[in-house]
This record gives sequence, structure tokens and C-alpha cells, in this order.
Amino acid sequence: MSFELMLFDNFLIEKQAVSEVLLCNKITEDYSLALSEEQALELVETRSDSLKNYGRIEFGSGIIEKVILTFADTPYISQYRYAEFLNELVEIFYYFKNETLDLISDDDLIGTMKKYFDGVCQGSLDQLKFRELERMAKNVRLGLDPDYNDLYDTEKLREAEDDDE
Amino acid sequence: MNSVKKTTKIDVDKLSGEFYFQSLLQEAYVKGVLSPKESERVQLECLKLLADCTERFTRGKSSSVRVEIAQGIMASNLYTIGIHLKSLPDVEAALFQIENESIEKLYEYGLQVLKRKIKVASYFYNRVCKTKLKTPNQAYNITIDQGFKPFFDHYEINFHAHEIPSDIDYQLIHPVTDLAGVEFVIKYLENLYYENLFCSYFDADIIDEVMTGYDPSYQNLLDNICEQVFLNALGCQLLNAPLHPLDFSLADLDALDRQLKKYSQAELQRQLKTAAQELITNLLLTNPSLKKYLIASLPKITTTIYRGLTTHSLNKVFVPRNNPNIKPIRHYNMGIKMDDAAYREMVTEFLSCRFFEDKLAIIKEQIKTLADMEDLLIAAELKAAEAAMIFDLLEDIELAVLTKRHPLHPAIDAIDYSASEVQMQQNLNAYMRALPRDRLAKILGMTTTIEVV
Repeated sequence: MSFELMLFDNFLIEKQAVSEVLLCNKITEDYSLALSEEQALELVETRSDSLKNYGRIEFGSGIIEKVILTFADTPYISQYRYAEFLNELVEIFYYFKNETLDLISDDDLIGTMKKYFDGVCQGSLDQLKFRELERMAKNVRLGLDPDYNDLYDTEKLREAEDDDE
Repeated sequence: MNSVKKTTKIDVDKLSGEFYFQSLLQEAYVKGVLSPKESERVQLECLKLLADCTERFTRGKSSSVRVEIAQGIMASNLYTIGIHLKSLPDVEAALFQIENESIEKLYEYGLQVLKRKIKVASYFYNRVCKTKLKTPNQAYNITIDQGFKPFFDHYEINFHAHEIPSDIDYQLIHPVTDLAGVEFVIKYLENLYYENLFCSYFDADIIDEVMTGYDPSYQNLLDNICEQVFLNALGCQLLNAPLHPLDFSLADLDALDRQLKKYSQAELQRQLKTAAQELITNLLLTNPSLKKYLIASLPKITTTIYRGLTTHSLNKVFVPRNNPNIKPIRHYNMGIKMDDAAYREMVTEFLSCRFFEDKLAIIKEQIKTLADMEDLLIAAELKAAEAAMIFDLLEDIELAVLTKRHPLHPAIDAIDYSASEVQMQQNLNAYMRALPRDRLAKILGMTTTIEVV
């Protein structure tokens, strides 16, 4: 008998997770967004793969529902790429959980992702992942304010210098 | 009604001290005491407990944790359950609880046991501090003074119960193995307390001298002090000598060698056991645990002594005391002076020589003792350069003897010594000052340990 953490058959756990994801459709339908059962299963599998790839373990219902509900009202997503978009968001979430050394809570990380996605990134997942969240993770690791942006400060300094001239 | 006692199939010796719960489940499953269904229930409940603990760990702010953190929490949980099961009278009672209590309940019981055990560790730590030996050994002092501070300040029973947050460098006669967490700390402190208790029967300064005899820089070593004290005490007991000096002369070591070399290792251990029991009686040791601790160290000590006998290095096993402040005295004989007539003739010839090489030839040919050399150096009234060439012929110890007999004291020399003696002192002083610093220090060091006959 082994006490490995991953020794249990994930089938039952995944089945339950899929039904919980599908329940979110009731809310997202107001925004014309919905996942099929197949897409929900794919999303749950993405979560499992991400957890495995980033060396993490999750108990309970996980963060998929939180991601779905938080991003439901974003103006930059449509039903056309909804499933693909959610898969990427889930993967990005677990990557930055590690990158921020678990110093930031689930709710705060999802909230920050939403803020940048709707704001400066204007719906670009690449900008979200490779620019804003990288900078935020670096700030968190250095003990700075997550929103601190030295580029922004430099630009402001330049503008002030231009005004003086 | 008489209850039928259940005979267990579980081999208690196969159970791990560090991973008790896991090893018990493993054994019970393999031997069929625990059914597959039961073992599955235990696993599922362990996983549920892990989920609950992880939620407490993240304070509900994160639904996921890194695998190594989850593994640490799981190990802590299993250790806590194991510590409760170990506190039960026997394996049957432990298995009964596994089958009839929920894992969460067992974990809660384990937390209570852990809290009690921390108090036990604190008790032993106080005993260790009270009986602490006065010694310059750094590992010993740092381990007691600072090593356990992290444990009592930061030991965390909820998520890291199996860890040992302490800096323990000092080695015991019986190293603590197969234990973790607070159990390790208790066992280590208990063993250290017994060692302190034994050492307290001897004077701390004597122990220091014994250890200096073992190694002059023992304060920097990680070696055990009590073991050497016990070895020396056993040696004194075998010689029927007084125990408290813990010292051996060369004759004592020869006697021990003759006494012990005839035994095989098994016979030697029997002899040592007898000697240890006599030692315990003579020292009036009353603590039964201390007696047991000392007797249990005999196999290891027998091996050490047997190796010392076979390699003819018993002086490294039963080490004579060494006080670094007392230096051994060396006696130096100046030798017999030559006949007066011969001496007068030699001096006349020496003084009449035109070249210094001839004078050196006379010295090499006719001066056989330092007593004659001293007389000649005074009588010849040599110049500094000539005297230096003669001093070059002397060895360090001879220069040390001359320095001791003719120290330069300008204030009193003019009154107490003749002009030729003062001249010789000044020449010697000038020569010594020109020597390399290392050699000069060596010669001056010799002057403190030489007694001129």
C-alpha cells in the first residue's frame, strides 16, 4: 500500500468537476457564453495537466468556476473561442501561482488577471501572460506593490522633463 | 467471562520508529490483518485530512499548493497519528484504534500527545542545562546553549511535526536514530542528560585534562566527552586504582596491556561488564537509567579497547591526562670539567693563536663538555664576531642552557659578575637577537623547561 499523493483514480473527481463546470453555464448564458460537456471535460483535464506540469496539488472544486464566473462579463471574449480562452486562463493561473511563490491568494490573482485583461492588455492573452503578469510576479517576489510599473514611472519622468523644457 | 487474547501476526521489529503509522499499515496489509477495504478507507480519510490541513495551511486563500508542501503536511499528519498509536500499550491496541476510530480523531489524539511530549522535551532540556559540564568543547556548549532554541521557539505541530528545527552538532555515545520530530529531541536530550550525570561524578578540570590528553584541540572536535571519561574510569577500575584522578602512567598502560591482551573480544566484553558494574558500585551511581545507558555502551567500548590492544595503541584508548599549563622538565647535564692543568694549557694555547681558525680547531679538538665551553667563552674575552662563530657550533639546547645560566641583566651585571662574564653575556645576547624569530622562540621556550644539573 502506498501513500503517494496521486494514488487515487481521478475519474470520479473529474466527473464531479465537469458537472460543477457545467453548472456555471446557467450564469454565463446571460453573456451568451456556454461550454459543452466535452469542452468542460477538456477544461478539467487542462487543470489536471497544469497541476502536474507545475508540481501542484489541488483539493476541492478548484478554481475553474471562479475563473469562468470572473471572466464572464469581459467584453473581449465571444462564444467562438470561449473554451480555448478558458483553457489558456487556467494554465496561466497555475503558472503564476508558482511564479508568485504562493504569496498571492487565488481570488487576488484571478482579480488581477481580469483587471489587466480588460484594461491595459485589451483582451490580449499574450500581453497578459508575457508582460503584465510577469511584471506583477516580479514585483510580488521583490516585495513591491504588485501594480508597480517602473516603465510608467520613467515615462512620467520624461513627460515632466519635457514640460519643464 | 475471560476474553480471548488476540495473537498478532505483526512483527513489531519490522515497524519503523520514524514512520510508525505507515509501517504498521504496511505490515497489517501484507499480513492480512487489515482488509483491502479497510486500508482504502484509511487512505481516503488520510487524503481528506490532508485536504483539511492544506486549507488551514493556506487559510482558505488558495485551493492548490505545491506538491512538496502537500507531502510535508501529509508526512506531518502521519507522524502525528503514529505518535498517538505508539503511545498505546501494544500493536493490537493500535490496530484496534485504526479500525474503529476515524483518522481525523486519531490525528486529534496525536496532537494532544505531541503537546505533552513538548513538555517532556522541555523537562529534559532543563535537566541537561542544570547538569551541564564545564568544558571548552564548542560543539557541546553550542548544542546545549543555542542548538535547541529553534526547537522550543519554532516547533510547529500542525504542519511540520515530523521536522527537527534544531542545530545539534554534539555526538552522543548512543546516536539517536529512527526517530523524528519531538521524539528525536526527547531521546537526544535524555541521552545527553545521562552523559552529563555520569560526568558530574568527576571533577570538570580533570575531565578537561583527560580530553586534552585525548586531543589538545578537543574543543574544536565533535567527539563525545562522556565516552572518554567512561573509558578512563573503566581503565582505573581494571587497575583497581582510585577512580577520580582518571589518570594513567606508562606503567599503568603496560599493566593494562598485559592484563587485557590475553582475552578474546567476547571475554574482554565480559571483563569490562564486570568492571563496569564494580565502577557503578564504587561511584555509588543510583540512577537505574544511567546504569543501563552505560552498560549498553559496552559493546562499542569493547571494540575500541580491542582495537587499541591489537594495534598497540592503548595509550589512545586509556588516555593519560595532559595539563597544558604544566610543561615537562628536562634535566641537562653540563658534563665533567677537564683537569685544571690541561685546561690552563688549552687556554694558553687558545689565547696565543694568531688566526681564529686555529682557535676553532682547538675548540673542536679539545672541548668535550659544555662546562668547559662555558669556561672558555668567559676566559677568552672574545669579540662579538668571534663569539658568534663559536655559538654557531652549539645546538639549540646548549644555547638554551647558556642563556639560562647567563641572562643579561645590565643593572646588576656590573656588580655581581666579572667584566669577562659580562662580555660573554653581551656576546650571547647579541648572537641570540640575530637569530631567526622561530628559532629564538624555540630556544627561549626551552629555557623554561630545562633544569641544569
